Amino acid sequence: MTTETNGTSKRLRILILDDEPIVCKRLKPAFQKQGYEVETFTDSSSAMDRLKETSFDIVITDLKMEGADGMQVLSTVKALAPETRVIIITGFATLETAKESYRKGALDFVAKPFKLGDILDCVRKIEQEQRGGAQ
Amino acid sequence: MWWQRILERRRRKRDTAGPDIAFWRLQSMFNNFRRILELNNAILEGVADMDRALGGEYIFDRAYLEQSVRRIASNVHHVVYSLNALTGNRHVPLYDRYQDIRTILDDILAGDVRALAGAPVLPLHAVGWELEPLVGIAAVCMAELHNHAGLPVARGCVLTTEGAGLLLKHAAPPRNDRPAAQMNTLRRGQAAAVLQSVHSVFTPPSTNELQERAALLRAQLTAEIAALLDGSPGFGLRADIASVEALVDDASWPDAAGACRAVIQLSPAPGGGIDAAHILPPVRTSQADAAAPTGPRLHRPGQATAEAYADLLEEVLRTLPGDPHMAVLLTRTRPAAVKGTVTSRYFCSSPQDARNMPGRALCQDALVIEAVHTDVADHADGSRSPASGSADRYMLQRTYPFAPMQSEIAPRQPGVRFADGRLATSVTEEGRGRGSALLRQQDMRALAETTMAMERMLGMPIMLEWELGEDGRCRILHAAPYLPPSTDADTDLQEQLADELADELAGATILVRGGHMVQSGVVAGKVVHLEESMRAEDFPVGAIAVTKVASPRLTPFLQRASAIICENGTIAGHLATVARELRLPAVFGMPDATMRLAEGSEVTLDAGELTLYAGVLPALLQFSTAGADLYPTAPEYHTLRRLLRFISPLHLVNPEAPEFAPEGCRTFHDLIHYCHEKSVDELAHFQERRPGLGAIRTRRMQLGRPMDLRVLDIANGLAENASAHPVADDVLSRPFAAFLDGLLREEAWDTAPVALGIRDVISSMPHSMSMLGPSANTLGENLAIISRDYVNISLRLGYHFSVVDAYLGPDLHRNHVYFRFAGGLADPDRRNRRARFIRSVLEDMGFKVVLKGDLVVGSLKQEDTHIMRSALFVLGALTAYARQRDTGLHSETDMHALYEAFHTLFLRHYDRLAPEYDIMTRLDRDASPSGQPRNERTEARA
Repeated sequence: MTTETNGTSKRLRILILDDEPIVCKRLKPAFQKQGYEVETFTDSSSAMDRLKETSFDIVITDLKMEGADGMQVLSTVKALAPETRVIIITGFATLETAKESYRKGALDFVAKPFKLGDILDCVRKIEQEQRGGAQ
Repeated sequence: MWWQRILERRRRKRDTAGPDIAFWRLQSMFNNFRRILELNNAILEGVADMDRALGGEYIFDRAYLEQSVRRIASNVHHVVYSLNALTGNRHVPLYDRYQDIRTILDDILAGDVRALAGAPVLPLHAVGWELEPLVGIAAVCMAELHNHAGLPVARGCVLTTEGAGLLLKHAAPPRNDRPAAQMNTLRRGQAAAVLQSVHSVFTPPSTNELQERAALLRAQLTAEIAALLDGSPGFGLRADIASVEALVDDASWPDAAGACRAVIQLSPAPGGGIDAAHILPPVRTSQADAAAPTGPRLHRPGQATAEAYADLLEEVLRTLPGDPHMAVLLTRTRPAAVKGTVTSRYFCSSPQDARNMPGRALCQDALVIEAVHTDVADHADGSRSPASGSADRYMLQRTYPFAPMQSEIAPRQPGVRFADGRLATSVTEEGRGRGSALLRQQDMRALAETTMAMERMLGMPIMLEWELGEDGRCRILHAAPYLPPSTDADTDLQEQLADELADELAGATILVRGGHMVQSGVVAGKVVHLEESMRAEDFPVGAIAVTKVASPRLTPFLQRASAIICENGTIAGHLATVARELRLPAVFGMPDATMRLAEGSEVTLDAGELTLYAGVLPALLQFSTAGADLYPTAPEYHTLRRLLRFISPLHLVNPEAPEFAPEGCRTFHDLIHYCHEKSVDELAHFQERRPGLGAIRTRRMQLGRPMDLRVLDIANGLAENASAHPVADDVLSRPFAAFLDGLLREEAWDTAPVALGIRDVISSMPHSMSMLGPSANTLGENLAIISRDYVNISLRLGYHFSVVDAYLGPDLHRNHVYFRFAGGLADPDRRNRRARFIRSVLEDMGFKVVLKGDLVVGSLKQEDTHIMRSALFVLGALTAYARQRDTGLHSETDMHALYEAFHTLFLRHYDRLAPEYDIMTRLDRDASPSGQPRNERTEARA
């Protein structure tokens, strides 16, 4: 799943799905800067197609979208690749949606607006866990 | 007697029922007041949050903007409601103002920007990003460059889409028949002011008003042109006419260059009159006749007056095909020896271009300057010949220090004299031959710095047009986004750059990490420590400013620096707001920055990551334009700025001014400030206005000073067992206690009689009477409204009036101190000197200060509690110390002496970096010969 770089470390592959282009536009370079491989989508059907083609280490998805919403994406990801970590981001956070996300297997639930550092920390934590697991 | 018993029973009943009702009504009044305070805090917190989002701190979407507006608007509505509940509906018109502003905000969220339209002719300094749909992107870029130091920008103004539309819709009558001939003699500011007032954003104009506005617009345009031409016959005007879409989104930005409808050069004709020549394309730099105008020409005979220029411009606009959204950027031109362009990003595709460039991915990116002679060349032998074939092309690295990579110097005829007056064979000050390049290295570097600063602000490549004047200085004539042709190689290049960046960061040395982001961005430069004695004009342009404290006094430095780093300072403070406004990368609270960053060292700051690296990191700098930051090209950025324009600014600063009224409220901040002032005023006068509510009275404090201060405790501001005449130790209100600490200091009370001339008394009479008139019933009645975390103090000592409004609670983000001071008995000059003395004191403490005549308004927000308490202490001392001092300020020397004395007594003990509120301990320790605190109360409080 991960990509080899320099023969020593592995790059995490991240898929970002949000129907607001500004979110994808800002998150992609921020993750690239940290050395991650990033693909972004603004419609859930294209993202789902891509998820069926290949697997990712982390999926970051918005909750409320046209077509398949974040919960459906979460279910699809977990069905296709249970080891993929899913982070839900939403501007309409409620306790109920957060609970449901966790019940369906989401790793984290982040309310918009959020600081870039918060979500980077979240991804770094996953990276550390995976490295720890690999060792 | 039985009837006496009945009468007594009735009397008792009346006496007991009255106070009960009064008590509950009074309680309700206090509750409404407290509610206003709480909502004010919540609103300002929400505004600060939106402001931080603008700086790039948050990843947000449209839903955030909608929710923020909804939340803030709801709170503002409640503030208006609470004020009306408090005052018995004496401020009902506020509901209309609230609704007006709310409608504008909803329109902005829906993409309608008409509400932004103000004056239809704007000077460049009045233009901001949010006005882009009205003025065009080129005008915004020029305005932003105007706000930054670097190369000077040609003076200019903009005729907005509203203005151009109005001109074209209402043809001007023949010059002699113009009804408002006097309009043409209006001064610049007058016309603008009239026009602004006619064109209210809240009421749609009638047909008559529209015609009147068209006449005023012509007058204003003429006045602006007259100001640009400045009476010099050598100046001309360049008009960039662009189509501007009302709604701008990401996709339309790349078309910004394509939106250019025409570029017209308006110049005095050799035989008299004015010529208008189309220049299409704007500037040709690769041909011999680069500066020669092309296209149709128009000529207007007669004198080259400003009015003639305005008429000719209108004539030109009418020759263009109809367009409902045309904006005109007018810039002043002058005779220039060399003209050219700078392109911030150029992809080197040929091996020749790529030669000599280090690295892999980076080698394909460069900054390109093209330069061409505009006129005939002067030869050493006195002959003149066309400067044909004289285009130069220079390629520079895009990153600091912008090293030259490749130059193509066109061959020139022998004996050509250049713009600096030298020949190619002349020897420069450095002892080298001048050479035949049109531009000197320092010119190239200045152009590169300015261009890259603009690219950093805009978030996309940029093209500048410039001219090198006969004075040897470069000026920017035009700026607009430039989108290089997209190729398949771009994606590969981006991937390659990401790889390179990972390698670069892996080997980079981190000097400092931490703090709070104020404005995101990546920049490299030399470190310069800001010293107190340093003047802004001495700060090297493009350097990274490093300082301990984020004082508002440093604001002028922001226009010259490429970034600012502060060890302390609040991200809601004035300096932070300005940094965001200028889109200047800034980090506050970066630990030990001044100690760890050596003066003159080269560093790279990644403000978004709160990290400072040693040296220049080219890949990081190049990658930074990829989009992790929030750039003005994002629709959300535009929308947020537009929203904040009607939420955040405070225009009503003086409650004594006539515009301090509901109809003067232009933003939500104005509304809540108005409500707060009026609610305080209501509490201060409730006994006179509501005699029925007289059950709870204020208490007169025993202060041991010649002043009368009453206190109204609305919630736990005094000890429960405080007497009817409480003393300072009875005060539990945190902000009031700190203020009293300073106010009661013996050193602050000079009770010697003041020297007053009859001139002082006479000159002060109208002023003082008007100032005191509306509130004359409280003359001599100083009042403090207090709770545990809040104080509002209105003081009239002598003939000056001061207000302190402060919140000091457990939530740091809500802390604020607001101070207002006005009046006096001396003549205006001396009152103004005292006002400037007070301004200096406030600025020393980090206040943001507005000074208008003898009125001083200062505010300090969201600082640590100990800083706020120390500031309140000094304000207390200042209030006592500054009373009647105006009478002694006969000269500037007197003012400086007063400042020095106050500084020695109090200010030097004020330490923003102190870990706790111990200013009194420091003060006593220094004053006492034994070095011990001398005052028990001081010890207890410290």
